[in-house]
Formats: sequence, structure tokens, C-alpha cells
Amino acid sequence: MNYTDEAFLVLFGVTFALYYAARGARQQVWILVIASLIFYAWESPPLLAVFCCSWLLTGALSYLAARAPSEKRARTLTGVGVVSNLALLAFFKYKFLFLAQATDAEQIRTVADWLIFAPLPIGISFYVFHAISLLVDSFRGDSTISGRSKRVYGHLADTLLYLVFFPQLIAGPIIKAKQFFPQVTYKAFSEVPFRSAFGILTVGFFFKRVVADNLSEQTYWIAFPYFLGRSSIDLLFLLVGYSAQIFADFAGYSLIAIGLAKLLGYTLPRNFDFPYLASSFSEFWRKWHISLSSWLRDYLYIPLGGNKTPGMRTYLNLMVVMFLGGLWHGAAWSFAIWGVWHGLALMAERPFATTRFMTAGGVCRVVRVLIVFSVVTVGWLFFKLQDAREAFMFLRSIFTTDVAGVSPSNVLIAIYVLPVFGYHLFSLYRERLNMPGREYVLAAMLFLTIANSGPVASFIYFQF
Amino acid sequence: MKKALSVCAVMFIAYAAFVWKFPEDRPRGQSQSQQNRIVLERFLAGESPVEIVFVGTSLTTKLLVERSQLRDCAYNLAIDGGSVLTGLRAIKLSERRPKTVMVETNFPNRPADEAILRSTSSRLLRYAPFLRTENVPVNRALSYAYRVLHGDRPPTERPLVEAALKEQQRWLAKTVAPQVLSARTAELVRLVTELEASGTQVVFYEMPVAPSLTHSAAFEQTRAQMKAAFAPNRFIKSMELTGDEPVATTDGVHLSALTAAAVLNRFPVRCDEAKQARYAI
Repeated sequence: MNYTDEAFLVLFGVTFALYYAARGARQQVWILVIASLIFYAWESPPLLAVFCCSWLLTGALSYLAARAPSEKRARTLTGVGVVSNLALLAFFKYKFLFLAQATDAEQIRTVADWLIFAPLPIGISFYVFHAISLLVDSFRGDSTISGRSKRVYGHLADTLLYLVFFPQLIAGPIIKAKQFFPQVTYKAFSEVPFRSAFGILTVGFFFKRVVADNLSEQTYWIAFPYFLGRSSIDLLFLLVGYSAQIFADFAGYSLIAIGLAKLLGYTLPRNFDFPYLASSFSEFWRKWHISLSSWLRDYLYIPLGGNKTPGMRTYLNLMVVMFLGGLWHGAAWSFAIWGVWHGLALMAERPFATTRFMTAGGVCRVVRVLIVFSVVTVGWLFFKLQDAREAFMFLRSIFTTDVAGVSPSNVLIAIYVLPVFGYHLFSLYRERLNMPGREYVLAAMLFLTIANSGPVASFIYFQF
Repeated sequence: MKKALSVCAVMFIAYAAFVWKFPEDRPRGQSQSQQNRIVLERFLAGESPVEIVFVGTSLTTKLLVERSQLRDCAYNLAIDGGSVLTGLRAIKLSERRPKTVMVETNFPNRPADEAILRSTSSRLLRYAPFLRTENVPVNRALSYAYRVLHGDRPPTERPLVEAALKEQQRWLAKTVAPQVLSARTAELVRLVTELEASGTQVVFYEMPVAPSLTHSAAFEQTRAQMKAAFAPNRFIKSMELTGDEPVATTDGVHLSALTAAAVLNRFPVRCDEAKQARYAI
């Protein structure tokens, strides 16, 4: 189910009414769990089986690890949970590096066929990361988790809600267990922050339906072999258009998720902080998909030694994290190349971090922002063209194509890219924009969301 | 929040009034899929000529019927990147029956697009034109800009892209899975039979393509299948539509603007004949 489906609106409306009619926290938890399971199983109920494996394993092992008599025992239980979840992810996601997906339902006859050919379970990359967060936080003895439920059933129910909570189930934001569990309390209707949720949802739907969905119509032509018929200027417009589209799509999704969670009394972490204003690659990763980068930092980079390791080891850590972070996005080598591309950028800037150019403001900062944006935008090509050879062919075409002229569709790309850059520039002046001005901007966004939406397209990050 | 909602409502009312007062004659979409929606929405809303209707794929969309002598009686219901079945299903969904339906036979293996048919056949769109694709604010601006910048000038001639031709040669060297082609043909037969039963004449035609693709495996397979399925019907061969003229395309299968205009003139249909006949309902 998609946030932009009519069925989702009905599900959310019914859930919202029942949720605030419930009398206690436990009832509210179960209402959310049932709604989330319907949301998840809507397209493909058998995929619930994979999810339930992860849930039962994570719930039971995290409960036992938190109460283990010795640290060695707790470490073993946590290790088993982490490895099992990663094995689940590796099998269901990365088998397609070696196998073709089933194109015909008749190919799937037995459970074994299903296991081999079944499509990627939606959201598995996200709920596996949630599961690992819960296991590790339980092992570390975080009292907000281990102290919540004395009985295993209560802990399993909380775990189920944490993993399946529908606003963040399919594509995050990834919320750490220690941030989520303390929020599982009774929520009163009188405390719903309608005003801020309305603003967040309006901006989210505007980015998704108006900007990303309309840009997806234009950036479709990045596909092979269509880009071969485009001029260099067209190809550059397409690249910048895709860069804006992926931001609008994912930031829009994240804002919708945060807004919906707010209506249910939960606070999800911020996922984007005007990333295209970043003036270094390390700053970019503090502003883009924040919940993933902070997860990778806490559960991978720091355990590897982070930047406290001597000499070249820090560089190796950076590359390992970016390579795995890239591959986490999908079972295609182009994602790994994308991760390595960012890893190289992070490594390249590190020795210059304290130089005058990297610390100065003004023109130097503007130049740095443009460099970071350009490198990041080229990187997105490996997201769009998942056959790396085609991506390299696209890059070569920018410099070698014989096609001349400028496509009129560049005007459309410019129109839809404008809100993305306007949004980033707005961040510089947001304190000066008074409240009545904001209301008019929200009204215009709402009007355009209804009147100028693009064709409904799936969220880009749903494929991960 | 209340203020934003109120301002939004006012904007909506003002925009609906604008659309009602100033309808767009030559709407343009921002993309292929939006152009398809506009084509279908106009036909289903009963705002297009209906005597002669062309149904086909992107090959037929190159026939600019609205710029030809057929503009008063014919409508191009071809779907860019889509299927001939989508156009035929749209005719079935509408309450109007054309005198003649011209059916392209080049790619009968594609399925009908259920989603676009469902969304464009909503009755709401018939009675609330401001919700139609052609009235999306950016599309209105685009239509206006195009009219100001281009006027009635014919579309510019684009050269052949050799790499695209090679890609088409590679694709068309492969035949379509026989069961897929049979299933689509069966649906085509059913829809054509229904149309003929209601008094519509159905004529099949093959759009001309680059000479190097005319005898490709995929087209030979399609030709044999169509002839077996519709033996007694009228078929217009691609050669009849090109005469002795060379066929210029942009990628091997899509005609260039000048060739497309010449091809359209060779179709054996005329408005005066079509208009004399009564609609078969």
C-alpha cells in the first residue's frame, strides 16, 4: 500500500478513529499493530511470513539478551539475532545478484520455489536495521527497553509495533529502539499536534505528488537507449532533474511518514536537513538520509573504530561503511559503485578538512556547495541506471554526443526543480518569513498538490 | 491551518471559473503519459470528432489528424507507448460509436492499460473539467506558450538516430511469445466483433517503418497472425501508405513529420463520405 493510494486514506481514517477511541496504551498498541499488518500485507500477504520470522527472532533474543545472567551469554544471543537478521536480508535481497526474478506466477509452485523466486519483501532493509538496533540497544542494557516489559508477551508486542509501525515500515526514517520504546505510551486526542502535522504533510505531499511525480515523467528519458538521442545540455538537465526528483521523492516520503506518526502521537527522527546546501561530503551525509547515516555511524562505523583509528585504517573504515551502505540500497553492483563513489569523495576531502578553502565562508563556501552538489548528482546516475555500463555510457555521452539542440522539456525540468532549490534557499531565510506568509505558501502547495499532481508513481525508496 | 485551507478553497474556485471561461483548444501534456490521458479524456468526455477514429500505438500518434483535411471528422485515439487495445476499450467505454475505426496492426501484442482507462473514464472528469489533465496549471501554461511560440507551424523534422535504429533492429529480430500474441489477438477479435456488430466499419492498416525493419521477424509474425484472425476484413498495407516515396523515420519505427503527413494523406478515408453516413449506435 502506498501513502498516495485511496485505500490508505480509508485505512488511516479508520485507524485514527479507533486509536483515539481506545481506552488504554495496550489497546492502542494493538490497533496500530493490526493496521500496520494490513498495510504491509496489502499487496502480498505471504511476505508477512518473512517479516514474522524477523519479529519473533528479534523479540525473543532481545528479551533474553536483556536478562542474560552473563555478558558473554548476552553477547552470544545478540550475535545470533544480528547474524540471523542479516542472513534473512542477504538471502531475500542479494539472491538477485545471482538469480533472475520469476516473471511468471506459474514458476512458483512449492514453498522452495517461492523462497527462491519470491520478490524482495517490501521494507526488509528497513525492518532488519530496526531489528539490529533493538538487539544491540538491548545488549547495551538500555533501560528504556529492558525496563519496559517484565513479561515476554509485552516485549513481543512492543517489538512488533516497533518493527511494523506503518509510518516508518517501508522506507524509514530508521528510528533507533532506544528512541522509539519510551514513546509507547497512552496517547490522548487532545494532544494531537494538528497544526504542525498539517504543515509537514502538506509539504511532504507537495514534494512527492507535484515535484517528484512530475519530474519522473521527464527523467524517464535517462533510460537506455533513449538518452542516446539527447544533446549534452539535455543530458545535464536530466541529471539535475533526477537529483531534484530523488530528493523530492524521499524527503517527501519522509515528511509524510513524520506527519502521519505525529497524528498518532509519535515523533520520528528528521531525515533531511537541506542536504543540497552541504559544503562538504561529510556534511552532506549529516544532512541526507540522516537516520540511515546515523545508524551506520552508531552500529557500523564506530564499532569498526571510526576515526579514532591510526593512519589508513580510518580511510578503510570510511570505504567499508560507504560500500556496504551503497550495497544496502539494492542488489545491483551499481549501488556498490555509488557507495564507493561517495567513499572516495569522503576520503579525498579528509586531508583538506582544516585548509582555508574548506573552512572559509562567502565565495569559497558557494564553490564548495556547487562541487558537492555536482559530485552527488553524478552519483545519482548509478541509482537510476542500475546497469553500471549504461551509467558510464551516459556520462560519456555528455561529452561526446553529436546530437545538437535543446529539448523543450528542459523548461519543465526547470519548473519542477525550482521548488527543491527554493526549499533549500528558504532554509536560509526561514526565520524572517512571518506566519501569515507561511499560511499562503502552504495554501499554494495544497492547491498544486490537488490540481497539478503528476501520475501516481511508487516511492523510489520502496524498492529498497 | 484554517487560513491555509480557506485560501486554498478560494484558489480552487477561482481556477475552476478560469477553466470554464477559457477552455483550451489545443491542449498539451508535459509527457507522453499525460498526452495519452488528454487524448482519452477528450474522447470519453464526448468532445472530439467521432466519424473516423484511429486506434494504435506511438507509430500512429505521429499522424497529426488535427492538422490534416480529416480534422473535422477524425480523431486520433492512438496511445503513445501503449496498445491498440486501450483505444478500442475506450471506444467501448464511451457512449459513441464511430462510423469507421482504423486499427493499427504493428504491435498487437501489448496489453490494454487498465489503469489509464479506469482513471480517465471517471464521470467526475466529464462534469468537472478543471480536474482534467489538460487543465493542470502547468499544462495550461505549456499549451499557451506553445501556441504563442509555434502558432500553426508544422512540427520540426528530426533526423534519424542510428543507435536507436540499431536498438529497434535488435528488438524486432525477436518474435513475441506465441501464447501472448494469441491472447491479445483473441481480445482484439472480440472487441472488433463487438464494434462491427454495432455497425462500425473496421479497417486494419500497417504503419510504414524503415525498410530495414519491414521484414523483421516480429513484424512477419504479426502480419501472419493478423491475416489469420481477420481474413475477410480490409487491410491497408504499409506500401499503399507510402507509395514510391522514401520512408524517413527518427528511430526506425516512428515516422518523421513530413513522411507522417504524406502517409496520412494516403489513407483512403474522406470527411464528406464519413459525415454523410449516420452514426451507428
